[in-house]
Amino acid sequence: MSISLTEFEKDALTEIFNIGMGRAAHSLSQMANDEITLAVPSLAVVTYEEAVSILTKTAGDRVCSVTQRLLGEFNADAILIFPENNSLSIVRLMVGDAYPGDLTEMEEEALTEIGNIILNACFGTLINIIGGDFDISLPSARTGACEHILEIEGNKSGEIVMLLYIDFILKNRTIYGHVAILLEGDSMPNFILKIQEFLATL
Amino acid sequence: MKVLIVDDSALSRMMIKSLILEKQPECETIEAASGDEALGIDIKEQPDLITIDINMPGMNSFDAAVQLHEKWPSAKMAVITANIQNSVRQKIQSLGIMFLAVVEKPVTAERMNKIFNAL
Amino acid sequence: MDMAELIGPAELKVSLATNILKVLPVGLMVVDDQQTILVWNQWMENASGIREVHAVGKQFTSLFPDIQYGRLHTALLNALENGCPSVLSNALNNGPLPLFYGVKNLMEQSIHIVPFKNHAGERCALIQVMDVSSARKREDTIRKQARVLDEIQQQQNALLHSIPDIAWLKDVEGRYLAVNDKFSTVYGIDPAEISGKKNSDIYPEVMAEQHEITDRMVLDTAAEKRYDESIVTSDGKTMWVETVKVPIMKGDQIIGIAGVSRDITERKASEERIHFLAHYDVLTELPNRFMLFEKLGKLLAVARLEETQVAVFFVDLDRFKFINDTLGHTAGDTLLQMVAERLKECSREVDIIARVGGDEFVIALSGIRDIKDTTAIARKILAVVGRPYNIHGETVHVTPSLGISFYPKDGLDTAALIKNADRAMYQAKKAGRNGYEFFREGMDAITLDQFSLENSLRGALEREELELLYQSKVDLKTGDIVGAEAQLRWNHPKLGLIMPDRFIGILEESGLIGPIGEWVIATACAQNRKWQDQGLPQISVAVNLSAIQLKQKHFVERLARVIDEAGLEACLLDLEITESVIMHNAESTITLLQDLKDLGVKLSVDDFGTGYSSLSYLKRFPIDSLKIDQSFVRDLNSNTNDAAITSTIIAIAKQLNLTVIAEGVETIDQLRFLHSNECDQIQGFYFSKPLSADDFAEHLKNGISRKSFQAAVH
Repeated sequence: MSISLTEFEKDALTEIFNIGMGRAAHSLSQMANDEITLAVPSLAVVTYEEAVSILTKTAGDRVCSVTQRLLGEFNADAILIFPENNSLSIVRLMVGDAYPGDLTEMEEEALTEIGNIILNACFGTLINIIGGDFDISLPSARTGACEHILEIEGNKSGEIVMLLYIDFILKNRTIYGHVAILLEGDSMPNFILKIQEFLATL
Repeated sequence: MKVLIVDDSALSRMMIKSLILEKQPECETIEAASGDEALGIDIKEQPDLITIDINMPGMNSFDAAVQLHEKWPSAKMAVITANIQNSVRQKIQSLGIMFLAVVEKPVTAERMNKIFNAL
Repeated sequence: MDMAELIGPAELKVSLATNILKVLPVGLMVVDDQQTILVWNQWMENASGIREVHAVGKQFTSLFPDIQYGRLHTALLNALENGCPSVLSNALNNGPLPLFYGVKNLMEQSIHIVPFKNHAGERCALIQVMDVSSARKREDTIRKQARVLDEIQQQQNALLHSIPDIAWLKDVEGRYLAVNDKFSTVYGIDPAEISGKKNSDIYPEVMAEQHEITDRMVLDTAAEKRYDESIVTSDGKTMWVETVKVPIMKGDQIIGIAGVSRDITERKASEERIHFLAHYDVLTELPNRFMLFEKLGKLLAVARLEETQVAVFFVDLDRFKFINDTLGHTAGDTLLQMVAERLKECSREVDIIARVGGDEFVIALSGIRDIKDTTAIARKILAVVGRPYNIHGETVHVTPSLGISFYPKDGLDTAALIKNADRAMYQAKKAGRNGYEFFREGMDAITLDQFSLENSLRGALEREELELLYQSKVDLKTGDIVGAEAQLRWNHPKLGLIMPDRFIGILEESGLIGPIGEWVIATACAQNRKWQDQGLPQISVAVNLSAIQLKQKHFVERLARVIDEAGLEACLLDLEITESVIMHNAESTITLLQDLKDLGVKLSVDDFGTGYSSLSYLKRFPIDSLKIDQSFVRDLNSNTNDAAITSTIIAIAKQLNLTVIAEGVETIDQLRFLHSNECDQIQGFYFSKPLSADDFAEHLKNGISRKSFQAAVH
């Protein structure tokens, strides 16, 4: 059961997330004391399997992720994914340290916060714009192989994933990552409904 | 009042248009999805107010703002953008254009008032 | 009765909650949607110094005014307004709340803000604070250590790259840890990619195995290994290196191996050259005498096992000296090289050809079954070597004389076989040259069998078979006879007159040089005294000294006694020492010569020009005269080199204030040359051959006829 979005709906979502990114970038740049640009160049609606395949190809073997869960009129998991070395770069650029080893505990906590800011912005903006009552979970960070990151309880096979491609620009370096928003089974129709309701009000 | 809305996102254009018409139903709105498109519009259209997103792909939005100002010097301009970091604010100020306001996305009625109040 | 019944469920919950808040090891606050504090636990009290009673009910921002507009505040508002939970990491947030541990230590904090709805559906936010001060400290230490490690790594790399030789480090598993630039240049490997590679990944199989073995040795013995090896570089060149591998120790434990390889290609080349020179004749590149003994010895051992025969050919070129003198030494050398090539034509790869003397060669052929086969080989050698040679445009003929001996028939070891082949060769010469002779027992030992000759020599003195002859030295300015050289002769009953060069070797080896040498000096001195007593003009008498005599203990004292007993004035004795003997161990010779000089005798350097003089030593020797070797005098008029050398020697001698005498003067042209070059004295057949004591007395009395002398020199 694959439900697809219209071009306009996709464009609307991309804009919503862009706005969210703008706000996240604002917060992050204050923390980093440097200009940060966050942009969402593209959004794709794919199946779970396709998402795993795309992410494994582009993000590589080892990735760092920050996950938050949205519960309400529809349920979704939002996972921010960066290839491991990109995550290291982001954290170390923001913390201002060129530590040569693997991600330390403190650094992982910092990554969690960075992810939290970005995901909060995504969710927050979405909820702001389309409205609704939702609970958002605390962020949790993981490092590991791509497939393991995307495994969340429940059979995800065939389910719909919105895959956002993100540019994170800091200190003239562009770091690429993804946000995967996994819509739980029957949440997709509700989600589409909410979008369409909102667009109708315009 | 004629308003030219320049934004690459259809959604944002819609939202802005919706809010404008809500506030002032007699307004006429023209839309452009990019700086180029906006500059391509017939000069006779003469908008009174131009809202521009400075985060558009393609032509540098700041250049677009300047060129639009040159095209229709009498039109008032406001910036509506998702990216409101200080560095961006400074850049906007350095353009030398008297913007009515710099408004943060997502646009709300409250935020649009900033523009209307300044008119 | 249980607690629940006693207290009631609601109160139980409250009691539990209160206790939880008391004991919770993290800070816990709850605020409502107006940011009013609802909950404030014990931990917060301790950390902030603010009692619960003063906190609850207050505005969060009034309790912590500094957080206004900061990240914490924004996050709190985001939670209350939008339901977004936040994490404030320690790394990105510097002490958001004024919380302390100990006396005044600001606490490193990790904060979580979690929104929830109360029973009335109103938004509240839970704020959790954790103390991560010690974790932070630990992490800072780790970071510092990592930086230090990094620095050390940099230093190690710098050191490694500064070494101009090949250098590397391996762990105990034999995996490479680091290599320097020289290594990567030689083996064509990027230093960045070396990590973790093993010997087998870098070197060809054989080399890798070698490395494994030596690595193993170092690891097992915890000792250094140093050895030379040949390596192949990435562009296929061969290079000799001296490799040192050392174990890297941490206390008693080995934690790795370090290695350095230095390029010794040059040194190796020198070593090889030296080895070559020690074993091979430079001119012909054939094995030399030394190598011959080695190789022939091995050949004989094999023949012994296989019970085959080995033929040894002694090849001597006929009248080579004459050819050498006629054509000059360069041509002579070329001829020898060509002869060597011709000899190679007559033998197989497995046979041995060696050059053992000036014009002498030895060929050893193995696997001889029938002695008669060698006849054909001998004929072949004669034919091949006898073919004309074209040397610098001139056609030259030279023939060999061959002597042949066999293992085991004619000898069991190399020396015996060569000696017998040599004896056979002499027979061939005697038989007319350009031929071959097989060795037979009883062959005349014209080469003077050492053993029998030595025996004869022992009694020679008693049997009065030794006599001294005297040859005059003439002063070139005055024409006077000014000296006499005493020359030893042996009148052998069977062999006839034997010249000293034939038996001087035996004298020296047998030790007879001592008594006979002393006899010579004593006789010469006594004779000179006798001449003086006879009223003849006063002259000096010269005696040749051998190296052995000089090395004798107390030689100087013995000499002093001999001169004294003879009653001769020391200054009338002239000691002639050949140039090569004098220059050998020049330093110690100086002392000896000085001692001799102190006796009052005269010292001459004999055969000058034939040895290797160091002019600096020549200056320092307390000598009186130089005797120019006859080889220069002989060719004075035909060989411009010799003429130049002769005049140079005279000039040097004059510079050093030495008297210079030319030996072997036989022709008037030679005389005239020497005279015009201001040579001081001459000795030679021109004026007189060596004479007996009585004949010399006559000669001295008569002197050189004035008229003929004047005619000769002008």
